[in-house]
Amino acid sequence: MKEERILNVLGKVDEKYIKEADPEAKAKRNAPVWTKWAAMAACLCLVAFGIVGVLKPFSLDDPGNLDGPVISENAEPDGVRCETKSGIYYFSFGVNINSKIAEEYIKSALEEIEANPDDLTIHLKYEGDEIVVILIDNNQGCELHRKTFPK
Amino acid sequence: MDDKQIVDLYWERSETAISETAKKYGRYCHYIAFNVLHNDEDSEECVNDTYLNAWNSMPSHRPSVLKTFLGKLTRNISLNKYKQLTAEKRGNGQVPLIIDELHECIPATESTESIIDDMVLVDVFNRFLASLTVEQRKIFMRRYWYLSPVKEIATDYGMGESKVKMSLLRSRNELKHLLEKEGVSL
Repeated sequence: MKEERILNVLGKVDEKYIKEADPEAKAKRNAPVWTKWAAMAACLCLVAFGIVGVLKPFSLDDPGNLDGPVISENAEPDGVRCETKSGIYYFSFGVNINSKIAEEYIKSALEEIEANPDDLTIHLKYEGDEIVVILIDNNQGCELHRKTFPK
Repeated sequence: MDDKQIVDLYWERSETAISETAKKYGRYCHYIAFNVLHNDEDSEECVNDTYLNAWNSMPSHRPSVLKTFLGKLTRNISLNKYKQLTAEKRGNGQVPLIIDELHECIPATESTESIIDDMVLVDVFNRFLASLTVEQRKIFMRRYWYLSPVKEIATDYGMGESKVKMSLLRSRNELKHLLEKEGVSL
C-alpha cells in the first residue's frame, strides 16, 4: 500500500527533523492568560464604540446555479451550522449532507479562512451528484485543494 | 546520566543500560508507541522490544543521538505491531486516519518508470522537509512521524486545530507536487 510506504519511509528522514519536532520540547507555549484578557477587553472596546462591521470571511462561487449552496445567517433545516468569530452562519445545500466528513472539512476550512480572510477563498458547487469544495490560495491565484463529497 | 554514559553501558554489556534508558526515555518511547497502537499493554510490549533491539545493536552501533535512535526503533516496532494487530482486526490509534490523509500525497499520474528505491525516496522527503517553514515542518513531523493527534499538536503549539489541519493540507499538497515534479512512482 502506497500510503504505508510513505509512512514507513518517512521514518528514515534526517534525525535533525525528528529532534526538531520532539513532543517533549514544545517550542511555542500557549499565550499567557493576560493576553486573553487583553483581547477580550479590546473586543469590548470595539463593541462599545459600535465599530464592529459585519464580516463575511468567505466568498461563494455559485455560477448561476440556483440549486447551489446558500450562505445565510438564518437556520436552514438542512444547513451546516458554522460558528465563527463574526457570527453564526448556515450553509444550505438544498439537500441534507450525508457526509459528516464534508461538514467537518467545510467548518475547519471556514475557520481558517476567517483567520486569514485575504489569503484563502472557499468555493462550493455541485458537480453531478457530488458537492465540490475548492480552496483557493488568493496569493498564488491557484487552487490549493479540492475535495468532493457525495450529496 | 548523559547519553554517552548510557551508550557506554550498552557497549560494556551492562544491564543497567536498559534501566537507565527506561528511566530517561521510557516515556518518550511509550508516547510514540501509544500514538500508533492506542493501547497501553501493546505499547509497553513495543517499548520493551525497543530496549531489546537497542541491546542487540549496541555494539556495534553507536548512535549519534540516542533519543531519536530509540524513537526510530519504537516507531518501526510499533508500526509492525500495528500491522499484526490489523491482521487480527484489533488495530486502533492514529494510523487509519494518517493513512487516509497520506492518500492525498500520492501523485495522480502513474508513470511507466520503475518504483524508486527507499533511499531515493528518503532523499526526496528530506528535501521536501527542508523546503518547509520550521512551523510547517514541526507540525508535519508531529503528525506523520510521531503520529500525534491533531488536537494535541494544536495544544502543544498554541494554535487552533483548524490551523494545524490547514498547515498539514498545504504540506501534503506540496509533497504531492514535488513527487509529481520528480516523476516519483510509489
